Amino acid sequence: MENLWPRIEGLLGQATRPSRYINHEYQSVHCKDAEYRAVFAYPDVYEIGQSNQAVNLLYDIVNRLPGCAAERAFLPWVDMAALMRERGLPLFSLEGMWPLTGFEMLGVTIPHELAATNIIELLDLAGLPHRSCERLDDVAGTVDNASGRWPLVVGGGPAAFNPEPLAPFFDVIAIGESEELICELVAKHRAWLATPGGRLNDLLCSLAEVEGIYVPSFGSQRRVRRRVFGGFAEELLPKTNIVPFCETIHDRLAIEIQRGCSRGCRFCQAGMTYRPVRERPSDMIVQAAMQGIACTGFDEVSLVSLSSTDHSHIEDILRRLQQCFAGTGVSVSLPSQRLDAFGVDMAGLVAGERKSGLTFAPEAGSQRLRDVINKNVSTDDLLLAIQRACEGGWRRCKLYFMIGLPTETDEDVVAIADLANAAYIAAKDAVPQCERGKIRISLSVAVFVPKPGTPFQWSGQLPLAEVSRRIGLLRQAGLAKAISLKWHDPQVSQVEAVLARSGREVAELIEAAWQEGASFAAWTERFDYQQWLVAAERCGIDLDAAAADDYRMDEPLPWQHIETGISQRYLEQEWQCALEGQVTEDCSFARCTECGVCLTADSGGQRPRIVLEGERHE
Amino acid sequence: MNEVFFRLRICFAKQGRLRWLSHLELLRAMERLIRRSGLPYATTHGFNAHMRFAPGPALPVGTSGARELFDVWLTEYLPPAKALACLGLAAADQIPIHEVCYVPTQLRGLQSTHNLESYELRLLSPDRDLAALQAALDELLDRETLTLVRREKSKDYQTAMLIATTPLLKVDATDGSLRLSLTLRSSEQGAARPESLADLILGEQGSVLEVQRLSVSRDGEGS
Ligand code: SF4
Ligand code: SF4
Repeated sequence: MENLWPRIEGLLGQATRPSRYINHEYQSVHCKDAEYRAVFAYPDVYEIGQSNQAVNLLYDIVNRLPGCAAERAFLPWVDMAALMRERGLPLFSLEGMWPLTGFEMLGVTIPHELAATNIIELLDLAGLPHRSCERLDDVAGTVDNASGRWPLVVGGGPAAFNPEPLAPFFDVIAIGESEELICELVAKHRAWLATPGGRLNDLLCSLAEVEGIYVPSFGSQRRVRRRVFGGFAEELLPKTNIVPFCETIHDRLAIEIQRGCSRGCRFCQAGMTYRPVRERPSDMIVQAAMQGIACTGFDEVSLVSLSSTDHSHIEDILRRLQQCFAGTGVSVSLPSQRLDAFGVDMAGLVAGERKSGLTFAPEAGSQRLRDVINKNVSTDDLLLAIQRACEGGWRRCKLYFMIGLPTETDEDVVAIADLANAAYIAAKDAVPQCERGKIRISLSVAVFVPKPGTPFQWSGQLPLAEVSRRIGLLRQAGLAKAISLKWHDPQVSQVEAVLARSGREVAELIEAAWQEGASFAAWTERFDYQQWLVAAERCGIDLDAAAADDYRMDEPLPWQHIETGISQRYLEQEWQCALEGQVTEDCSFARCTECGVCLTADSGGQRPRIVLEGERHE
Repeated sequence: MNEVFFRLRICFAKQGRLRWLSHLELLRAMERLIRRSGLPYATTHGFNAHMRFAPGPALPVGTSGARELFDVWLTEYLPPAKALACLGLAAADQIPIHEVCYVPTQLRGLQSTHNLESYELRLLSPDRDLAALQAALDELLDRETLTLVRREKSKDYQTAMLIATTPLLKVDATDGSLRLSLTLRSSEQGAARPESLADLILGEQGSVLEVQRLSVSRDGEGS
């Protein structure tokens, strides 16, 4: 394979941030001799993709498999992509600077819905036909492992729980957690490559047997069960961490301390699709943090998970890490704050004097609506948390809300302003008179996007016109001067909803939008609604209807064949509870509510929180 | 509390692919390298303490540096050879560490004291031969002031102040490429980019292929 570096380097003088493309970062793995080569590509620029845990995890795992080598690839920014196209240079892997077409397998992360057009851009820049059927054209049944020209294109990631919109572009899609799945996939692929005359169909059939693997070309009749990594608590992965040169969005050592969240917020896809909750033992975490800092030289370690402060030993972990990094200039961070006094105390433990701002997500303004979405926090919780934060030295906080949640009324919208104003008063009361002017509260409001696999999966999105009216309501609701209000572009949320909840028919829309120039749609400055409107018109798709129409309970959903492990009955029941405003308790701290994930014979139906023996709080 | 510090000066190279790093990216890489080397680095006071260091003058993206300097404060004295070994190990093959030495802690920052920068540039000149380029260079050196253009902005420099040693133009014996070596002095006028000077020598079609800073030093120290 040709090493493209000399030709790529020739372009760097004209590219923004050349460090995105230089590779050779500390602890990256290079030019390993291998008979099987995989490249893991992330459909965004280096600083976003290299911050993604999945890429690092898969890279680490496959590089450790005997006879295998893994490399990484990221999408170049638009300026570099244009230069590459001008010179006829294809997308390249970082380590070997090889064209992606030279690998046995191309793994592509599907991080979120808006990455869809970037995935097309990635395939296109790599020089691959976009659609799996064009690559695997085997009508005559003649394609075998000797004549196949393209890498096996595998997708997977958080947005794959409805794989249909992107299904035609992938040969196989991994549903769920990939730590073990990737090893099985590689083993089967290698075995097939080594079989003389192996037919393509044989490969796909054998891959379809792996739990969690969906083969889109076999259609959506076959049910696919989400893969869960059972060994999460036993081992800390990735074992090594790459130290980037280019500043990434999460430029620190990340340690995944827990997987899954059982709080049960009804809008939250991750909360439903990463169950059950699994914790890594505190000793393992502390040791990994110390060792990780020593071998990478990072000055910050982040304890990541969906809700890190819910780890049953979080306080102990934070105190020990505080102690071992004292005086070294190394800090510890938590990605999110739990909305109560304990959350603030934990944030206080790691923040030191760097009290720049706290972020809370009450999501809804009224207690009624918070009950509907099962966000089990009360106004008092929030006010107490704010008070505690201000007493602890914070002066700024950010509150996240959603608009257009199922059953939302005008009163609920106005209640967002009331809650924010109450938070401001609580903050003012908690600080000395002379400090009051420093208090700033910023509200960040986004339109609710219904996600597959959640109790709200049947619900449509609020139509754009109604969104505008409700935004108007909130604007006029009389926010205190110190409170700023920011909107997440509703048109972006609409496109997100279309891509999240439609079937295979929107694959055409994705390709058309890409042709219209839509790439890096998740970047505010790059999103252009017009491109999507034109594309939708071309494909005969009504964006408004695709986003806003409800699904009937009795009609098949486009993602019906994907089993997340949460039972249909549970989702229906949760939807019913939502309509009645009834809350469901968190199974980590109360009884099992029988969502279906842990209902195995040997657990007797009760396995609330998976931790190793001796780690449980008494 | 009276703390005693030791100021270790690290001489290293920013070369190969790493020439594409920005100044900030290079500093971050050096900080991380030092942290993982296990050297007993000192930190600033306060809860959000960070490593105490002083970098040399910034190198732009795309420019390599053969002998760059970076000072870090240590809380313990380590024999230079030992410190060098620790750094070398942590640097892997990324950032070659040439040597280390201790310097007085009370010295001012490297950026303010080290005002001489020696460069070597690799040039491409399809339309002017060596003699023509030399003539253009001689003519420039005779001027009292030089107007250098960078990113469409021009700035005047006193020639005698800016040019510390007579620039040398030659064809490299090994690869036949055209080279320009020169030492520039930075002053209150600010630091000039050697490419801007090379642009004046080169004709319409000429271009600068590569810029390498050979060293940074102080007046009187020699380069
Ligand atoms: S707390 Fe709620 S929103 Fe956050 S991860 Fe858990 S379920 Fe999702
Ligand atoms: S089965 Fe029960 S314990 Fe397991 S995740 Fe579901 S609700 Fe929680």
